[in-house]
Amino acid sequence: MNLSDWFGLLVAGGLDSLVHWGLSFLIAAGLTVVFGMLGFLNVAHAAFYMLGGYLAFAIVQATGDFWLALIVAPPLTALVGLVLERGLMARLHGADHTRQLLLTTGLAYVMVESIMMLWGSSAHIVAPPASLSGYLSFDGITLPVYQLFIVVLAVAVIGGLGGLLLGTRFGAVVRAAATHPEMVEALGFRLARVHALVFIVGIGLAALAGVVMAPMIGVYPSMADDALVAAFIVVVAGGLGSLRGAFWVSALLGLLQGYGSLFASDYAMFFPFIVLGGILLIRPLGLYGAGAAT
Amino acid sequence: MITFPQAARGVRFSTAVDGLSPRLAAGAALMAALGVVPGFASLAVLNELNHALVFGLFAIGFNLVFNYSGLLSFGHAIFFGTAAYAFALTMQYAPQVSIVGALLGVTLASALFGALLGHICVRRSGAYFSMTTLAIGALFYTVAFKWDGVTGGTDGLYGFMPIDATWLPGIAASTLSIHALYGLIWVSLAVVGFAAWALLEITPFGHAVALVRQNEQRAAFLGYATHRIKVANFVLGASVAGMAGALWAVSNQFVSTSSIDLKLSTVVIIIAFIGGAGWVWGPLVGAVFYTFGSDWLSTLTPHWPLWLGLVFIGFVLVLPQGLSGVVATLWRHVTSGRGDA
Repeated sequence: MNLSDWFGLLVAGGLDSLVHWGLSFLIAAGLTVVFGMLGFLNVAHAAFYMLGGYLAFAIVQATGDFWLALIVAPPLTALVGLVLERGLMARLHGADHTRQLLLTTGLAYVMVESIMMLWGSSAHIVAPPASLSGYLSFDGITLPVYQLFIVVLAVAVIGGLGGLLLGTRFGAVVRAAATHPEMVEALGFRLARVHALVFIVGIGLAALAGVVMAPMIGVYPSMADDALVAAFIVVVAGGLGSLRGAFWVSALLGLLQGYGSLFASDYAMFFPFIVLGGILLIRPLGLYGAGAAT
Repeated sequence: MITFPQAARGVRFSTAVDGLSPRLAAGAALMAALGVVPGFASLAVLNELNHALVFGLFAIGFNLVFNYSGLLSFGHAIFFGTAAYAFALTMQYAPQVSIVGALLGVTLASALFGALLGHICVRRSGAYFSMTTLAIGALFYTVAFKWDGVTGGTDGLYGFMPIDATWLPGIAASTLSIHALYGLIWVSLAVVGFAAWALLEITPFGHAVALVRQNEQRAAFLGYATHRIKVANFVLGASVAGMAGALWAVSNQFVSTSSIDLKLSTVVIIIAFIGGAGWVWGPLVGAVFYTFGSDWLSTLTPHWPLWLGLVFIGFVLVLPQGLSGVVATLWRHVTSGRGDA
């Protein structure tokens, strides 16, 4: 193997890392922020990721238009989330967290079974649009266009949301609602609406991840369970409620996934657990685990 | 807090047995009813009931931790699954070991395993505990999935029961009849159920567990080693689940990753809650309901898990005390005047 082959591997691994980083952060972000703000762990979060993927599959199957799926599926999933939040979860606001955990566990179970009832229990592959399939070649290094697309999309979405949160008045209200809810309410903002908004944006992001994953690994019945475990690991290792923690843990896991699987693909499934164990040994509350949502 | 009856009554030190006798009687009646069923049930029903009782035992183990320590585990199938694998492998590689001996050995091993994991898991409560157990559960599932040289992966293990199996040294079990299996499971359930009931409801240890659940800080001020008490209760829950896993291996004669996956950990939560998490025997009611209910539903629709999930959501929202709570309320109406207090 000569030098340029090594360089090719390095670049391909880096791209793979970025893809995993972006997707795992998109899924975990909503989960950790909602926990930070409401102290409420939504076990059904990953079921919304799954719903996003299956909606994309249905839309592409019906219309053949991936772009339509990309634009329609996440808001549609968020709408389902809003209805379920208002109709079911709101009934347990203020109830003890164990019952909320139980309710969302039941909800996840029902959502997964409903999806399987509608779309069957076999896996489906979603074809990427023609403009995003194929490879780009730079100087002997070939990279899949679709992965490049995911990275661009993830950077745009995460960057946009980051800018919104950190740079606007609206973002300031959301951040304040996480740390000083009483004060925000006293200033006349409707806390319940801020919470609902954060909740459905989080669900929309997870659904977006489901949509862009669909052409990569397809949609399949256990995808919600897989994503739930992955997201829990990111959220716990990053510190419950910490967006920053989720961001950096996603980065670390993305790098391990991208490069580690080049050299030790047999053990790649264990990397997240090793990272989680290692971080919790050093920082039992996770990287940024003080409870503040920043 | 869900006001399960235990919590509502508060910790009692002197009048512990008051009000408990109806529960003990209810448990005894349930076990007696299950004890006479083989007299007239068909083999098919009895086979179903075997599964129901094994799941009931598993759910009782889960519920010891959930109800008495207030810790909701998303990974309790770890103990069920590892014990099932351990039992199957014992039978496969050491066929001279008796079934009861292997059952007790695996249960003991599950207790040790529970002590190890409990030590890690019970450091945090609430959502932290749930997430930690989910992550550890996923880890063990991944191990079972990847280590197919030992576990058989998704194909699982089967045909591990030796032809010359013995119940106890010298007592042959060459034909593992459904009736004999039922007897073994029934006896295990009765012994474990009453022992757990006695340990947690009437002994000082049980009171300490209840105190730690209600107010850990206060318990610590009173000098209780709260961490150790929670670990001890976790060990109980782990060993009961382990015993259920071993019984599952011997009655099902097939063990695969579906005995250790997240789905099973979720199902056991659903079973325990529908049955009534506030009672030691409640999960057993839930398991019988689950097994026969899903059997009946599956003749009507292939999508029966959807209905099961909806029933569960209904219980969480409307009847958090589960089926046992409904029965208890009806019973109080019938006998009227006996308050919940």
